[in-house]
Amino acid sequence: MGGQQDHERTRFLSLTSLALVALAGCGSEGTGGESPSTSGSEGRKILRVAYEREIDVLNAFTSQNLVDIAFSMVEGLVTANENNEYIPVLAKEIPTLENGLIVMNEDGTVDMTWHLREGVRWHDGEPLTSEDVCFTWSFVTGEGSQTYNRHEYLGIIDCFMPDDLTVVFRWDGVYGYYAGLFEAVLPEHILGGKTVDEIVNYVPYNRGPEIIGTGPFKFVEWKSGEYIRVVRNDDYWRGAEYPRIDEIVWSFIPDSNTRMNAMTGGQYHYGRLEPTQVVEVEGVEGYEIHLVSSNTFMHFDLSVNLERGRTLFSDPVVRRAIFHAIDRKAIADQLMQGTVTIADTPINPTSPYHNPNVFGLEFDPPRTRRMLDEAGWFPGPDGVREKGGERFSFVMLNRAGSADRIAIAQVIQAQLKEVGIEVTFETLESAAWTQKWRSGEWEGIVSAWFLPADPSITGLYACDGPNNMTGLCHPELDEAMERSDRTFSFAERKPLLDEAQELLALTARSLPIYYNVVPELVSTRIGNYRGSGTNFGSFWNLWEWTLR
Amino acid sequence: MSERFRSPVWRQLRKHKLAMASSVVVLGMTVVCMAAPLLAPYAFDAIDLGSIRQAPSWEHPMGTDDLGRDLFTRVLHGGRISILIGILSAIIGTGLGSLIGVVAGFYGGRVDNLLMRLTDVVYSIPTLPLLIVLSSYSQAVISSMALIIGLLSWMATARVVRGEVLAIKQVTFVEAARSLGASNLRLMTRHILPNAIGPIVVGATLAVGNAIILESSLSFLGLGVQPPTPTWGNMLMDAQATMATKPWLTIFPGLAILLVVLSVNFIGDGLQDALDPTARDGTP
Amino acid sequence: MISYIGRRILQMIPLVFGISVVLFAVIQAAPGGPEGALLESGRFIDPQVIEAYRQRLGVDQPVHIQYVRWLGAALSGDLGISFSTTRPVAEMILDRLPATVELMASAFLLAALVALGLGVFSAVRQYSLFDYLGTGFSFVGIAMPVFWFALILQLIFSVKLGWLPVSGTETVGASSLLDHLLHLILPAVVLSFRYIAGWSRYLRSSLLGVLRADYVRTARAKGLPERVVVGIHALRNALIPLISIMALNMAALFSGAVITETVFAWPGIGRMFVQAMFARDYPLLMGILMMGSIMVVVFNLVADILYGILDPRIRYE
Repeated sequence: MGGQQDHERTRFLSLTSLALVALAGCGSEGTGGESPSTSGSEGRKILRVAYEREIDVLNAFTSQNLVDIAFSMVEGLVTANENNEYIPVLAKEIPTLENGLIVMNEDGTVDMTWHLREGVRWHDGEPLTSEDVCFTWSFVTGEGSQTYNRHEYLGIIDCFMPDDLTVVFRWDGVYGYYAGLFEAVLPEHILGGKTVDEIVNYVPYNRGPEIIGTGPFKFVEWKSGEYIRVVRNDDYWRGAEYPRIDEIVWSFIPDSNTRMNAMTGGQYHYGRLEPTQVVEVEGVEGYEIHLVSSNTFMHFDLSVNLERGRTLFSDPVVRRAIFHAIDRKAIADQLMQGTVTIADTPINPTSPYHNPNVFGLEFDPPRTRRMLDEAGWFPGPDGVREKGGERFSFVMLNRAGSADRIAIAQVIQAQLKEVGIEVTFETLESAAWTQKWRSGEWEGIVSAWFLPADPSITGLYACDGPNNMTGLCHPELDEAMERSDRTFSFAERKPLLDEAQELLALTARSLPIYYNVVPELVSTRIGNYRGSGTNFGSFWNLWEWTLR
Repeated sequence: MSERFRSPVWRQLRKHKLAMASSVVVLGMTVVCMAAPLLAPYAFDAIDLGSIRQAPSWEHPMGTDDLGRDLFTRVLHGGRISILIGILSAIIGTGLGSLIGVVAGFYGGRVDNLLMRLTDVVYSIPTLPLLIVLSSYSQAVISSMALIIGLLSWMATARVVRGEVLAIKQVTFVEAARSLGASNLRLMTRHILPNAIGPIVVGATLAVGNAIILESSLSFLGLGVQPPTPTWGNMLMDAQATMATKPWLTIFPGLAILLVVLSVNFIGDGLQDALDPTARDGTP
Repeated sequence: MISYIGRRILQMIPLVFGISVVLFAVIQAAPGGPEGALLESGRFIDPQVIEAYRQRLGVDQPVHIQYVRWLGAALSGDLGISFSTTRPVAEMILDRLPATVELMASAFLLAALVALGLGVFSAVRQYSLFDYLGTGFSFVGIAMPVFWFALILQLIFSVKLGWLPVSGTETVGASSLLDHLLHLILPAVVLSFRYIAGWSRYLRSSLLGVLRADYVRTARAKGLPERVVVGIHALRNALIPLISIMALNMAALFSGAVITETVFAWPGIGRMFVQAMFARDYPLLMGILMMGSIMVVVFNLVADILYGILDPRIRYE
């Protein structure tokens, strides 16, 4: 059901991504923006990546971070391309009802057959077999496997191995998200015979040297705090000509300004930047900036869990009045410098499930004033509205260090002040912030959320949704969302999700602000880069990247 | 007694031109910043998304920041907070340091031993990491920031003051006062402390500069005073990404820190010279 | 001499013990307790790691018992298990320690060399233009926020001029000693800058004092060249008190390393500390704080011993 507070676990990225080449490098500034030399000492082609964090572990299932480093070594049954379609990798094709690989049984269970590719070998020479896939299933579903979407695998009640290259999953029902599972396969011959806990804590697999996969690159070394190095797999199943790069060095540079300076100083070929840095790197020679849109959206929420929140925000008319006072266009165009697009619903416009006809929450301060007057909130002596002795003043919970959110919070504060609403700030450091957000004991919050590959929004907005921290509840909305989860058919699901999106706006549930983008600065020496905002990231086709 | 002790220092200090000029700068900037609410042309949180990151102009003498706020206004208000944190934490730190130093030096023996070992312990722990941990325990507001910085910057003062007290204790006027029956408290507050005031003032002066720098380091990590309240530190931090293309955003708060901390150190240097006549010049 | 060193080492023990008490108290003061704060944050963490942490300290016991348990384990080299990586804290620190030691040592040497040159020259040419310029320049190091100075240097020397790399310790795949030194220059310069002023000013004033001393006058009277007088006789005696000033700055040098390593993506324990802070990884935070403090204590010990060796007035009885 997922979705995630970003930074906490940046795993669930969208299926809806749009790579856009904003500008080709053409500046003539006296910058040292030469792309780094591609060759090492022996003329090897070395791809240098300025990576935004030091990852925790290389196990793709237990990692709490984006796993694109692991995906250069480890492959799964499927991956997602830049058009957000699932495409087979180790599987020959993705099962569907049409190709006969999905069979509905009479008892309501579903059998799903996956045929594995022939001739695929692990980095140590062992062949990949169906045993590895069923082993992966038993690990992920095991108690304590720490897999972020373990619950999605729990629908699989059995795993059969008719032969070495065929796997059959038996599901206990219909689940729309089946095609995105098994993004990695674990090596049974390395990890077999260990308990789930032993695997979770097995350092040789987590940090090397026993991290092996079937992918285009092989693990060499992980230098703590500095980099992970992988080299070409000469025995790659796609053929001897792949991959076309000899080595990749993933250098950890968490500070975004250091990363930008290292990129523009010409030390690296690829690096993710912040939206506000885009104008800074315009015209840097030898690089192109790609704005890769992800299914993260920034939004402003109000909670009725606390006494004051209940008094102020229980009335949907008042919530809508507040939302009308916020100029999202100015936030997107000015503050974010036009790198992002305004959001009206949580579901990204590039998704087929996006509803373009959602009732607008347009910027209209006079309307706010009128609505608040009608609701009985009149300006008091200090300009702040009052009703029955209660001042219209609430606390916004900010997360220290999140520059973009804090900037937005400040804009909201200033714009609400214009209509007679006072906003004060409480700022907490990341862990404490998350704790307070989870407790629901806050009044206003600006936060970002990653929607899963699947457009389900139930967890975020249902009355008892695990990620609904607002205390707000709307049974009609719940019904539409829950029915949308239990079907294979787009035709059935689409109208239900359309209705849910309309209801979200009608009930002024939350104010979506904009859909996020991840700017990626890419050396023009790189070929075959196809930026993608899924959880596989832009590295999904590393096997075919080239480097001049 | 203290009059006699202090006046030559003042005369010496006046000779130290750099220190005098620095005093003027620090005093001037402090007064101007403290009067920010009266002097600033705009409100410090007046957001104008239509005019963000504008270069300096007549309308905005230092330009505008990433939310379109007048940078000059923000520098004035930021200075108010930064200097306030500097002064408050210096008072807390030197106050605590003097107290510990005087008590340790005056009583000597076990008290002295215990307090000085405590000083050694805290001295050995790197301040910034400890500050980072402590500041994550509470909301970053001016008072808590000043308190935490103050609580971690008393050690040097305590050591110096203790040394001074040990020296002064031997001097005859203290002996005389004691023989006349002065109480311990009276001895400490009336006779010993005023005579140790020199190094205390030097320490306090330098502490102001240190605290301003520390606040900026915390801001760099996102743990400093939080927006919309400006400090020179968090303004500098906000301007990081645009240093190359919008230099005014970083230059003005950066220069403000540089100027104040530099001046404060020159004053400290001058005071030190004035208090320690042997180091004054080449001839004895 | 041996007994003097031995005594200094023995004095270190209660100091390190005191440090561990203070740090333990600070970490235990985390709101909700070190493991509670993390658990309630909703962040994914292996429940077994938390359980092991609780077992190990005995969280139901009074704090002093918990401390004794922690101390017992720490004395045998066990600093606990990191919340965020589930690796042993001691191992994680040892991985990263060399980079921090290298950076701090380079910065220390650089600052000492520059301060020496500046101090001597401005003492000999007191009130000269060089004296003023040198003093002004070195004071800028005290007055500039470290991260700001670092970013300015990055923009000039890496982005504009393209001379020096911004981050890391080597160009992987094309590394050499020269390559490594190029990576070291910016972080070392940034970290050293702050100490030049204090040290050179101190050296200047103590040199001025020494130059007036009787034995220097004697040396001069004997007709020794000024270079010899300053270089051999005066400098040696002026350097002795500087050593203790330098030792006092070691804690601050470690603090500076936290910021410097973060800005230059230098893989030391300072940057690991910042990461641990945001992950609320208290066992790791405790370990790094402890290690940083021990480094400071050891540096001070070395300074003390040096002082003892250099200063003929100290008797080792």
